[in-house]
Amino acid sequence: MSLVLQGQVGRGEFSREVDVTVQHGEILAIVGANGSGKSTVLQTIAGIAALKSGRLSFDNVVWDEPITKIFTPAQDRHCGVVFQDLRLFPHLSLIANVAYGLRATGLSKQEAHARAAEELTLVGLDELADRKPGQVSGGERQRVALARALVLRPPVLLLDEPFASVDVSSRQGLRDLLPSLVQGYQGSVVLVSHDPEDVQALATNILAFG
Amino acid sequence: MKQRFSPVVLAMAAIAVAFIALPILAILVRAPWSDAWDIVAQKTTRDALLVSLQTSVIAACIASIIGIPLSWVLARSSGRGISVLRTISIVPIVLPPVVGGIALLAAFGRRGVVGQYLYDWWGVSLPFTRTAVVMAQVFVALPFFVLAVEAAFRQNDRHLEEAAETLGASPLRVFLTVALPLARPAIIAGFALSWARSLGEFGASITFAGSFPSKTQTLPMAVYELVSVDYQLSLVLSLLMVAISVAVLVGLRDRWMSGDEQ
Repeated sequence: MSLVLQGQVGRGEFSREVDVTVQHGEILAIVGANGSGKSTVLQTIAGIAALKSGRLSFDNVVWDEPITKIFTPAQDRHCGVVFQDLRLFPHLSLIANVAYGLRATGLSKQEAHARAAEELTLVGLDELADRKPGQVSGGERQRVALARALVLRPPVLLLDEPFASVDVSSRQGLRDLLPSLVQGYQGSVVLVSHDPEDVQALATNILAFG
Repeated sequence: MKQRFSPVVLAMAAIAVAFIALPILAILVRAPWSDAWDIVAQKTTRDALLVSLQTSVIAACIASIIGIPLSWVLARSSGRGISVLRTISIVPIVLPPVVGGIALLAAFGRRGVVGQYLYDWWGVSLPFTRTAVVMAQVFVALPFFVLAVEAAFRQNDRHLEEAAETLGASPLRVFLTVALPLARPAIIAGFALSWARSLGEFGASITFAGSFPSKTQTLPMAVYELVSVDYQLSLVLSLLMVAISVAVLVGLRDRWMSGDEQ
């Protein structure tokens, strides 16, 4: 069944009814106007926002169900998230950013950095490994954010406007890169975008938010 | 455009600055510079300086170690209980230090609320020891640390902490690897402020620890005791403390004095 979200998402005053199902290996694109709650859906799946009502489950394990007070914290859901504003750790080098989640799983620094280095190579940034996020371009930061999420091989990958902070010239490169990165990837992907070209290039299914 | 001020405002501002600067300059003018080194090298002076440095550094370390978790809890909780906690934590800022000393005696004195058990059960007597000096310093300095660091934790980008959570980090790991490093400048500033406050502490420590040369007598206590006996010596010691204070402020200048955030 994979990822199933049925209910009301929202933060503060805002709320909207949502019915989303994403199978393994599927890339669902949610499109719609600003403020239609696309990002809130991703935050709810990731566990940094709570459902107002209804139920969120992954492979029949309930992650969030207000009526039964079930709520799995973000740290235990292991969703890979690429945030719209990236949220790279400014005080850590690129390789330490990518290794962050691996370290949290208990890997030694050496192992974590070795695997992070491989992932950085995949996104073409192996030579910038020791730079800080503030010392590289927007497109490079975007790749780091992707690598940081993908290195964990997350069962659920959430991409929030993954190319929003990238200039047009590097956008195409990333668009070409992403499918190769998620190739053979068996997880469920939810992509939020307002750019039809992104959606066209990546999505297997489309859901429109009014 | 450059701001224009009324002469009255400028004059009053000048009076305010002079009121603070003049006494400090007066120390520089009156200090017996030629004998300064001999005086500093005296045993009383060296002992007081040593006690001061030792106790104030330990106090600043303790204030940091217990102040960081407190600041974090205060910054990331809300509700009435937290407001009460915050108020309690900063009371020593407005409390007369000598009252702090009395309070410490009431709590940890040999017949104090806690002190009586320390003494009866383990034979531990805290007042009039060097430990008491440190306790008095932590009491007055901790609020300065908490004010500086809590503000920084509040300003931290919570989005980064959320990102860390999605990467599988436990609350403790988020705190240690994201929140703490991002607040590092404020923690350094808080350490320096609480250290400076500890170094200058007088009222609470002389009440709770007494002024025993080479045991509990700190520089400010030495200055106070010498002022009626040897004015020249007290001037030199004051000069020493002015130098240390100015050094702390200069060290913090970028962080504190510019008026904006990093």
